Amino acid sequence: MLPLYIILIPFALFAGGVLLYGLLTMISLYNFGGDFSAFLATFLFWAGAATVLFFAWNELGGVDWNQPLLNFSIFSSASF
Amino acid sequence: MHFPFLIKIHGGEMEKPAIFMRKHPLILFGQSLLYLALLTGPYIAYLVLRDVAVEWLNHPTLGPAVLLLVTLYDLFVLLLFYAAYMDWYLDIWVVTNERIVDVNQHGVFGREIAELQLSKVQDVASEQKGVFATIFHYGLIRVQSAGEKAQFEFAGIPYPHDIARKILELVQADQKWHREALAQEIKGTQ
Repeated sequence: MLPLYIILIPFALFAGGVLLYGLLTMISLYNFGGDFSAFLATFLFWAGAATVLFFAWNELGGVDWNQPLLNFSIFSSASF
Repeated sequence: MHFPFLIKIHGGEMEKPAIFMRKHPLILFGQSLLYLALLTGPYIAYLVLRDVAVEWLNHPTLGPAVLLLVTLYDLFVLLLFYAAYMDWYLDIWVVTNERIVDVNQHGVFGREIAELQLSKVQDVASEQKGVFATIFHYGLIRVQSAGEKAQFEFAGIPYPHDIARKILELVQADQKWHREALAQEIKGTQ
């Protein structure tokens, strides 16, 4: 039976991809000379991402990640 | 902002940027409002479908999965906003004393630079259409050329009529310089 922490793998991959693309965007932006508005947009992106991830981490702190992902125990006592 | 595409022109001196343009900030503001609305989507859905949402979130396995999905969605919308900002910031028009340079950013890894010599400009038109365009003074500039690319267009430009007039003045000054240079050359060969 798959444990619940399995769903963290695709999440980490996608979230990592988003953050990497954000980093590449930031490098591209400053390669061509960023000004205050570029700094503001960059700050909003990273601050927003940090806030979203912080709240997710806060909410998911009490989860039992070792529990099974799909609980089939409801079928074990079925009788016909 | 620095312009790596400037070149040396007649007499060995560097061409000088005379006009530098980006799309009106209102264009970016409108897109930002859209992304803000998308960002608040899951939270509005939670308020509207409160009973179902609470049941799902209290489930031991479905709850964490839904939270992770919403987190990914928010990150993706933030990235779309940042990419839209980069596209607005790096799409520029520079008019120098020699050329019009149109720089178009395509994503993170794509950048297209098209140029038009002022001596090949045949016509410059400007257009301001719509309520917001009239109130906030932005519009379209169209430059007709005799070059390979027949028409250059830049939409969402602030004060398009003033910019069109300045471009025409630069075109006239450049064409006058070329006529005088040609006359000097002919005089020199005689």
